[in-house]
Amino acid sequence: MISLKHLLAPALVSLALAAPAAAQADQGQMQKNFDDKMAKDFMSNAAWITDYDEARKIAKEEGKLIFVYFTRSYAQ
Amino acid sequence: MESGLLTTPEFTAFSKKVVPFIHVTTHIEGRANEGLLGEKGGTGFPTLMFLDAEGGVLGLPAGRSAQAFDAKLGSLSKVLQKIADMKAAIAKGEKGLEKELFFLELDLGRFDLKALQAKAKSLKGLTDQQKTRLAADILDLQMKEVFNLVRQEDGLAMAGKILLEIHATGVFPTGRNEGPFWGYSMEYAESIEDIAMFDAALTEIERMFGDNERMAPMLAEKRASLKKMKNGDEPEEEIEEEVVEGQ
Repeated sequence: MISLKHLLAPALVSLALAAPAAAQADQGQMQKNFDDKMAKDFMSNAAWITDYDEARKIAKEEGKLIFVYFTRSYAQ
Repeated sequence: MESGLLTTPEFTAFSKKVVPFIHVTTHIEGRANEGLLGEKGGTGFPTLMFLDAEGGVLGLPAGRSAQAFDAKLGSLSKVLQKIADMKAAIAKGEKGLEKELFFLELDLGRFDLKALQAKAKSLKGLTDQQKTRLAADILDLQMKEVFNLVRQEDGLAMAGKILLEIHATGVFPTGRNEGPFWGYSMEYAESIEDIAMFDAALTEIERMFGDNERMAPMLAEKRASLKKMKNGDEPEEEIEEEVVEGQ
């Protein structure tokens, strides 16, 4: 049976992104996945900022726009 | 992308013109800003986006190449410069620029819902096309706010206020917001026992999904709930058994 949730798909995607099932995730594995992502070659191809507050601070100081690449590490 | 575009010298050259920020959704407990993608209106991975220094969303590149990124950066920079110039001119007393400035900033998504609704009331002399554009942008922001609110605890009740505002205008979302709008309207109306809204929303859902067999059980359940609401919940009469002495 298709539930009402299927109608609310855009919101469900947002829910999935905003409310990760951290309680069920193996935290050690999640950390390893993230560390592996950060060690990939592409990270050394640009001066990537990884902190949102720092990105905004630098953008203000240098008068630049922020180009954000949203990605994930929780699923390999 | 990570083994292609983002490793190219063209991307390196582009990245020097911006602040390249990588946001990773990790599912690591306690990590700050895990929900940032959703907050910025993104719905999947990967998502590429330009933000201003305050974190306001400016737009997405039209394609996935360093050339497309450069093109978007160029067009955003031009618009931002034009806005800055117009604000300077207005500050010096130049008249007649407010409406053009407003629509330039609207293009950049500079207004939140409250600010846009306030502007809509105060702006005079708009053309029919501009009024239609404004109404559509307000509706878009209202739905974004609904999606934000329903993610929270008791969110549907909070989103209900906005849903009622939309219903009052008689102009409803179309496209990808249409299903969620009527779905949330139906849920909210059922929760507050607003029969008219429940009926209207269910009718729209049936119009959109009535041919889908997999939706049939849910629709039947909602139709039954609506019928029960229309009939009212009458308590069953208690029938007392008559005790006849001596028998």
